[in-house]
Amino acid sequence: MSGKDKVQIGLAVAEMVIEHGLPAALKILSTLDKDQMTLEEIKALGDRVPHPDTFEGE
Amino acid sequence: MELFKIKELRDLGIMVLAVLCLLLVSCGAGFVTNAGKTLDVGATIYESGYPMFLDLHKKGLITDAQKAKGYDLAVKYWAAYHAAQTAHELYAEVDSAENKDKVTLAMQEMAKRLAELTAYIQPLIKEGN
Repeated sequence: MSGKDKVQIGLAVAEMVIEHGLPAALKILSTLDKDQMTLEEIKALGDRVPHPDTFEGE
Repeated sequence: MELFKIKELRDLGIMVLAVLCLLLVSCGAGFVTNAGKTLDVGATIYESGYPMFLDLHKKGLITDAQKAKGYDLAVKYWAAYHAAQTAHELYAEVDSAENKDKVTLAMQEMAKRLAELTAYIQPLIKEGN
C-alpha cells in the first residue's frame, strides 16, 4: 500500500470518527488490522446489517 | 480489479468507499479476507450511520419524506449486503472461479448501494450535528 493510499485511509477514518463516532471508527480500524478471517468470522457476517425496520422504535 | 476511482468517490462525498475498495484490491491478505473486511467495514458504517440518521427524524431535523428516502436506500443496501455476504460465505467454503465471480459482482452491487445510502444520509447527519 502506497503512502498516498495510507493518507487516504487516514482521512477516511478521521471522517468516520467525526460522522459515526469513535466506537465505530475503532471497530473499523480493528477490522482493517486483520490479516485473516476465519470461516466462523465469515459466517458471523451474516448476523450483521439488520433490516432497517429493526431500528424503528429504538 | 478497480471498483471505483477515488476521485469519483470524493465527488459522491463518500471517502469511505475508497477505504473499502482499497481493502478489496490490496495485496497481502487474500481475496476472501479482503472481501470479508470490506463487508465488515460496510456493516459498521451502516450500523452506526443509519440509527444516527433516524435520530435526526426523532429530533425533527429531517422530514418524513427524507426519512422515507433514507429507508428505501437502506433497504436496498441491506439486500445487497446479504447477497454479497451469502456469495462470500459460499466462496469461502467452495473455492471456484464461478463463485469468486459471483462474489465480485455482489460486492460491486453492495458497494454501490452503500455509496448511495451514505451519500444521502451523511450530509444530513453532518447538518444535524
